[in-house]
Amino acid sequence: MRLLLVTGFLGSGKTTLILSLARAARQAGVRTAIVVNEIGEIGIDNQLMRQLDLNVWELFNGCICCTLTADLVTTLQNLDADYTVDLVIVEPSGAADPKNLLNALPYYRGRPLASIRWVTVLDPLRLPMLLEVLEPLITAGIRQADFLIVSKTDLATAEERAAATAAARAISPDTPLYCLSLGGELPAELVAELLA
Amino acid sequence: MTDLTLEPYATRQTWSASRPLEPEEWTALHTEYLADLARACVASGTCVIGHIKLLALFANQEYLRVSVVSAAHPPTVTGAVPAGTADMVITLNVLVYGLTHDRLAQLTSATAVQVAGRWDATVVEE
Repeated sequence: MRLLLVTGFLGSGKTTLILSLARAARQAGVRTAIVVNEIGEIGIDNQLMRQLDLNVWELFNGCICCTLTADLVTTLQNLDADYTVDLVIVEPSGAADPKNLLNALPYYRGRPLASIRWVTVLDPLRLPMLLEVLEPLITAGIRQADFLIVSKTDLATAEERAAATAAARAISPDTPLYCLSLGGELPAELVAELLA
Repeated sequence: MTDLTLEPYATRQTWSASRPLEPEEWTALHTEYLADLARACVASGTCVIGHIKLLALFANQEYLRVSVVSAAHPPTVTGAVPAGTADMVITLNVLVYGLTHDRLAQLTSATAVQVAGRWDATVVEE
C-alpha cells in the first residue's frame, strides 16, 4: 500500500487535483482510497467524492494533524488489513499543519508502506499574501513536498504565476514543480509519478 | 493571521425559484451569492477568507460546486445543474479567519436573502 499526502492551504485546489488523480487511478486500475479530513460543521468534499462513486473515508470533528492522528492511523491500518487498496490518498484540512502528519505515521502498525509521497498544492492567486500572514505553515508545506503544484494557472495572471513559481523555487529550488489549470488534464509524467 | 481565529460555519439551504431556471442561471445565481458573501465578509471586519464553498447534488452523479477564496477573485464553478431544476438543496461551508461563527451565520443568511430576492427565488435554511 502506498500513501500520497495532498496538502495545501484552504481553497488551493487539493480536491480538484484528487478528483483528477482518482479518475486517472481508476483508468489505470489502481485501487484507491481517499481519506478526507475537512474542517467545518458539514463535510462537502467527501459528499462530492461519494457522489462520484469514489472510495472515501472521512475523518471529522477535528484535525488529523493533532486531535485525529489516532483516527488516521486506525483508518490506514483498516485499509491495509483489507488488502484491497493499492494507493491511499490523504487530504488533510487546508487549515492543518501537515508536517505533524509525519509524526503520526510511526504509530502505524500495518504492513510497511511501500512509499510515502507528499504533494503540496499552491494557489497563485494568494500565495504572496499567504506567505506574509501564514509564513511558517506555507513554507513548511513547500519544504516538505516531493512535488509542488501551482494550480489555477488559467485564473492567474502571468505575473501571479511567475511570482508563485518564484516564491516556491526560492524555498525549495529542486523539487519538481508543475503548473496546472483548474480542472485541466494532468501531465502524464505527473500521474505516473503519483500513482506509481 | 495568527491573531485571527477560525470559527467554521456551515449550513444547508433550500433554494426555490419561481420557475425552473436554466442550468447557467443556477450557476450565475450561486456564483453571485458566493461573490457577494465574500465581499460582505471583507466589508464586515478584518478577516482573511480561507474558503467559501457550496455543493448541490443531483441524480446521476450530477453536481454543482461553487467556490471562492477571495473577494478580489471571482468564484470558480465545476459541474452543472440539470435542466428543469426549480428547487435545490445546497450545503455551504464558510471558512473565514477573523469573523465569529455568529457573524458568519448572519452574513450568510442575509446575503442569501438578498440574492434570492434579485432572482425571484426563496431560500430557507435548515
